[in-house]
Amino acid sequence: MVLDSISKSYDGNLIIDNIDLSVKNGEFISILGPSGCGKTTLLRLIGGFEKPDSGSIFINNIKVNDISPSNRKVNTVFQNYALFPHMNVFANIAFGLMIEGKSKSYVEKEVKKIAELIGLEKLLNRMPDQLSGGQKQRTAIARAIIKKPVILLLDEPLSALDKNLRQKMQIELKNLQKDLGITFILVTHDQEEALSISDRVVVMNNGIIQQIGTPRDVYETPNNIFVARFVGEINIFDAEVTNVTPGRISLLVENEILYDTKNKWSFKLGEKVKLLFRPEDLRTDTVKNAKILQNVLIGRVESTRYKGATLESSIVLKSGKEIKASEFFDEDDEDFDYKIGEKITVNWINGWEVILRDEE
Amino acid sequence: MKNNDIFKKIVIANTFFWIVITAVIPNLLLLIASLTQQQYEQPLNLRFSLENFHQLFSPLYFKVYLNSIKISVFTAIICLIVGYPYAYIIYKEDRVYIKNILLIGILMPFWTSSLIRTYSIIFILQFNGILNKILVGFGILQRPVNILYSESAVIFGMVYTLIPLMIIPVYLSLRRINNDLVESAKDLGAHSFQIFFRVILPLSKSGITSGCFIVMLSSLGMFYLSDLLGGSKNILIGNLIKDQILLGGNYGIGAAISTIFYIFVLLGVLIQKENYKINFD
Repeated sequence: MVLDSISKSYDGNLIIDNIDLSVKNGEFISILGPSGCGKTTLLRLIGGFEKPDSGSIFINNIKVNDISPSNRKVNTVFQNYALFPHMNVFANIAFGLMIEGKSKSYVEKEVKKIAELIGLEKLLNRMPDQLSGGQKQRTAIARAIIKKPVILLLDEPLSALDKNLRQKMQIELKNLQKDLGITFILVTHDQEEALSISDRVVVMNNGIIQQIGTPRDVYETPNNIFVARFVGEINIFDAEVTNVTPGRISLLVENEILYDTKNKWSFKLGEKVKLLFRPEDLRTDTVKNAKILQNVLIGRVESTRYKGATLESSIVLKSGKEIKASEFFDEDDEDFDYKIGEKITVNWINGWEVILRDEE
Repeated sequence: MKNNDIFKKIVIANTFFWIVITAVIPNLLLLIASLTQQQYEQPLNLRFSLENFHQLFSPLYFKVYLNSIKISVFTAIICLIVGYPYAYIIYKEDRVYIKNILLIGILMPFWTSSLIRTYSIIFILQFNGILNKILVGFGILQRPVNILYSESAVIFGMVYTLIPLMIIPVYLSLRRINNDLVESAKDLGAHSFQIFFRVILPLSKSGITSGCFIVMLSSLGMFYLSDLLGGSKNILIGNLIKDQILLGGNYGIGAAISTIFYIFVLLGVLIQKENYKINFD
C-alpha cells in the first residue's frame, strides 16, 4: 500500500498534512501518536470511510481513492468492536460472506475454520453482550479476516482490555499476523504496544509523520524531540558544541561539564544542541563512593521508586532540571538504594547518546 | 447528611402523593365501580357482583371490539408504512436545521388541539371539500364521492393524529444505532440495501414495536374521531365507554370495559419492558 501526499481537513483544520507512506505486503505497522494527531483519520482514509482532499492511495498498485469501503480489499477492526448486537457470534463472523451471497455450507465451513484459528469455536452461539472484552475483540478480528483482506486495519483494538489480557492479545495478534501473512496496520497511543508488536512504527503528531522506523530505530535514534519524548522516557540536557572534528565532537553540558564523544552528526561549532539519554543509559553513584568526580553532573535525589528489577530515581540537578535514572540491581550492588535528598553523581555510558538540534 | 435525608423523603412523598391522587385512587374507583352493582335507591350500599363483566360477553359488544381492533391495527400499519420512512429520512439527514424542521413539522400539529384538527379534516374530506375538488379537477374522479363518514375517514383521521407517536419512537431507536455498526457493515461489503435490511431495520425493532403499541392503544380510545369522521356508524371501544357512562348512565359497564382495556395496556407495557431488556441491557 502506498499513500502519496495525502491531505485531509475538517472545517478548515488540517488533520492530515501531506503524508507519504508505503507499506510492504505482510508488514505489521503501528501508527503511534497522541490523541488528535490524525492517526485515526489516516486509518479511516485507508479504510475508505473518508476521502482525501488531495493525494492518492494505492493498494496493490491500484488507485483506490474512489472505491467505497465495501469494495476495498481492506477490513477494519473498530475500536469498540462494533459487533452487531442482534446477531450471535456465528452470524457476526459470517456477515461478510453472507453479504457476498456465498453458499450456506461454504459459510459454515469458513466460520468454523476462523473460529478455530482464533479460539472462538465454543462461543459461536453467544450474543455479543454475553462476551468478555477479549472475546468481543476476537470476534471482531474473526469477522474482519474471514473476508481475506489484503490489509487489516486495527483502531486501538486493545485499549479497552486490562493490562494482562492486552499483553496476551498483543502476542496473539502478532502470531496471527505471521500465520495469515496479511498486512496489519494498527493505530495506538500506547508506545509499549507499538514497540513490542510491530515491524515498523510510524510516529505521528499534528497530522505529520515525525518518524518511520523499526521499533529499535525509533526508540534508540529518535529523529526529533517529540519522538524522543513520546516514545519512552527521555532525559534532555542542554548543551553547546565547543569543539568539532570529523571524528569527535565536544559538548559543554548544562554549562557544567565537558563531554567528548564520537561525531555521528553534522553540528557546527558553537551551535546549541540537546543531548538525550534514556533513563536506563544513565549511571549514578553516591558522591562519597564515586570513582570519578570530574566531569560528572551532581544532583540531589528527589524520590525513588522501587520497580522490582530496577530502581527508578528522580534527580534534581544543580540547574534545577529534573531527570530520571533507571538502574538494575546487580551483584555488586544488591541493596543499592538512595536516601531522599542524598547528593549523587550522574554519568552515562559513552556513545549511547542522541544529539538533536535545539528546536525550542 | 440529615437535611439531605429529609429532602429525599419530601421528594419521594410528593411523588407518591400525586401518584396516589392521579393514578391509584381513580383506578381503584374504576375497579370498584366495575365490580359492583349499582343501586339507585342506596348509592352508597355497594354490592359485589361480576354482572358487569358478564355483560361484556354479549355478541353486540364483540362486534365493537373486533371493529376497534381492526381499525387500530390498520391505523398502526399505515402509520408504520408512512412514519418509518419519515423517521429514517430525519435520521439520515446530516444538516441539523433540516433535521429540526422535519421534527418540528411533525410535533407542531401535535401541540394544536386535536379537536380543531379533526374539524379541519372534515373540511378537507367532505363532499364538496378540498380533496374531492382536487380529484375532480385533475379528472381522476368524474364527480365528488363520499369520503367522510366512513371507516376510511376514521382511519385517515387516526393516522393523521397519531403518526407522531410512530415517528418519534422509531426515530429515537434509529438514533441509538451506533454509526460504527453501519460503517462496519459497509466495511464487510454490505451495500445500502443490505445495511438497511440486515442492520438498521432489525436494530430499530424496539422503536417499531413501541410505535405500533402506542398508536394502537391511543386509537382504541379516540372516540371523538369516530364520532366526527365516521358518523355514528363506527362504534369503537372508546365510544362504547363514553356512551355507557354519559348516555346510558351505566357506570358499571363503562368501568368494566375500561378495566379490561387497562389490563391489556398493562400486559402490553410488560411485553414492552421485556423487549427493551433484550435490546439495550
